[in-house]
Amino acid sequence: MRIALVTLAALVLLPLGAGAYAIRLATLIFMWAALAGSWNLLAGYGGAVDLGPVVYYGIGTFATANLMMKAHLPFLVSLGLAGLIAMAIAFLLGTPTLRLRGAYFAIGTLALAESAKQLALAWDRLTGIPLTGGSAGISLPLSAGYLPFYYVMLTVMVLVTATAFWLERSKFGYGLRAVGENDLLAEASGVDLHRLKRRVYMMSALFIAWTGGTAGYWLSYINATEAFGAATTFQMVVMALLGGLGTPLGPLAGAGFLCLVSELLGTRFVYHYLIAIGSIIVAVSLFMPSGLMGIARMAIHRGGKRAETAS
Amino acid sequence: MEGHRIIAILLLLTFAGNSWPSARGAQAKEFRVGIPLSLSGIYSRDTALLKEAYDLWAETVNRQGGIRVTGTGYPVKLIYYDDESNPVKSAQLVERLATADRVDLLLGGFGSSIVFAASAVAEKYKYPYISGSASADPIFQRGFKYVFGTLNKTFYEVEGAARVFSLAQPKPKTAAVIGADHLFAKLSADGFKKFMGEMGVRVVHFEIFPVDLTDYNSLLLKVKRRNPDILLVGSLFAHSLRVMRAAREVGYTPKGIAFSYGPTVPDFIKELGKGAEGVVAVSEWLPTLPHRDPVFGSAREWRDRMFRRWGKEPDYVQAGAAAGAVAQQKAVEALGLAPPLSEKDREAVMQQLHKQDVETLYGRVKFGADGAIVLKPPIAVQIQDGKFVLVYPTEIGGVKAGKLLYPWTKSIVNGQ
Repeated sequence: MRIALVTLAALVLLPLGAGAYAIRLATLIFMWAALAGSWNLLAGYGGAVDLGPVVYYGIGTFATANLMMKAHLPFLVSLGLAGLIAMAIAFLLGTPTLRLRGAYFAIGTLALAESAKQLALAWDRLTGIPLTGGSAGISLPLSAGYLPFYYVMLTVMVLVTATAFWLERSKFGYGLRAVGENDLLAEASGVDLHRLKRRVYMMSALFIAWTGGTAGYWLSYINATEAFGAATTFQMVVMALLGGLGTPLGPLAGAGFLCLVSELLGTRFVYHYLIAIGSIIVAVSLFMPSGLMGIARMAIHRGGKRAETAS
Repeated sequence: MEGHRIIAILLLLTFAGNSWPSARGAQAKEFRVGIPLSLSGIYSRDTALLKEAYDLWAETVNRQGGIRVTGTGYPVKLIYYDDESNPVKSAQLVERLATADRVDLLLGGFGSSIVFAASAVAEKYKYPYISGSASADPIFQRGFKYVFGTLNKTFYEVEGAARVFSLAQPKPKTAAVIGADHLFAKLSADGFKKFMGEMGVRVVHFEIFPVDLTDYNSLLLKVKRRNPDILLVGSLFAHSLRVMRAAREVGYTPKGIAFSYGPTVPDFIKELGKGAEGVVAVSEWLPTLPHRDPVFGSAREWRDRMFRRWGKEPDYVQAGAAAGAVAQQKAVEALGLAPPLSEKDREAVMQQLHKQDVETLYGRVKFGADGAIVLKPPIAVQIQDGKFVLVYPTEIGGVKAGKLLYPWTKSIVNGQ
């Protein structure tokens, strides 16, 4: 706990001592950690592999942008409202889709995300209500500085991680993990499986929408193809798996590791670094299925009892 | 216990920002030009073309003793990074180049979403960002001072390939306009439609199709059913190939066909062979145009150098990219700025770019207040005997246009 607080304090103060680029890199890591962490909430604890979380990223992006540009609301207010919109949509979409199990849920959500992309692309043309700008996208005003993005992303990441810790310890979390481990058994022993999953689904939709809304304004340009692109989903999944599925800090480790490795290798070996990253991911998933957190746990166990008691 | 990991990451992170990038100072004096490009991902194929043009520019300049500033030559060093065709990464890399690598200048990448994201960061750090391959109108509607483009704005870019059909005998009466749902391709389709209206050609079918459409046959069947005289396509390279193949498969042979992008990519003729005959394409440049260039000599010489270096005909987008690099070089030379360039220097380069009017291999490079190129006539070319022949406008810089092959139906039937 103390370590967590010290780390958090260090991250809050980091912008004082770091250069603009370090801040951007940190913001990026927080962003991916928040996204991978949100995905981990449902997949890691509830056992439901969602391949369409990017729907809420896109919704968050466009809702925030429209509230800012059309309703002229401040960024943070728009972001907050965008999160609520995403939760409401998650409620509507989650109600039928979360009844699907296993691979059907994965395929269903993947299809959902693709449909959402096509709908967003065609929205303006079909409805006559300009919301997404079609394939042209929406250009946002430049923000005064990048520091707000750092703190918003940090906050979302902290909230996601706190939620994961809460899931590890609360009764709600036990119920959810029971569902993740054996849903039929959990249901038979009185867990309202569907409601539990839907709540987590909505929570993760909220966090993902906040991340998306922030990223959109940060980039100052959004379009449906990118905002609803499956690449974002896959990166979330890879980071969560790499870090360690079903652990609160796994997604953070996965996001930090991948971003930093890509930074380190990408700037030195511009033409070959992707091969190296691919090999790392394959190696981790083959030899260390419990991810980076699994390695960390093993290292600590071998390191002796001291660390063990501290945890 | 897991906190240790986080602290390690945090340490790495601080380390990352402050000490990795090479500190300047001790290096030899040179112009360091940062170029975030999509070397992997969906734009990688198109981006490879830009890289060829930039590489040749740097090699040529360095062979000539570098960028000449008040009598001294400073070599050019290109620093490429891969943005993986991802705008988030592209913005990140521009920030890296600006704040950590502290490059002197930038050159732009490919793809509108990439250029949107990258130019916003470039604007913040006051780096002129010249793209030779982004032409979507909205890029120039953001009120940026540091974004420049050497291609005509999309809407205007397709005008030549539309108006060329007013030279056809007999004049076409009906047209179909289709376009991929992609920023550039859709804008092209909108442009085609507008110019058809102005020319009095009736658009009997207008359709925007998904950018990743797989079934082109039903799309072309719909067009065929309307039987328009000409077909105009808002496209990227991949769409142009698929439309051509599907048109052949469904047996649709319009009297004229034009694309906003695709046919000028060398692979188009290579893949379609005789089937490419008669196709009209938007262009901005031809090696036969009488343009002089301060670095390469002339349009023709640049083409020869490109051909020798890369073993294939250069595309007009490459010419546009090379011209952007030349224009920026000329601005630096005119101002007499030696590296390293400060923020104030770069601001001066931006103002000089807005002010100057230089003749390059690509034609006159003069930017308007919004950063888009002005005074550049839209050109249309037609593939005749496997070569690009200027067909619109009727005369440009003393070069006379060839005769438009119309209807092209005859040529495709003979070709097969």
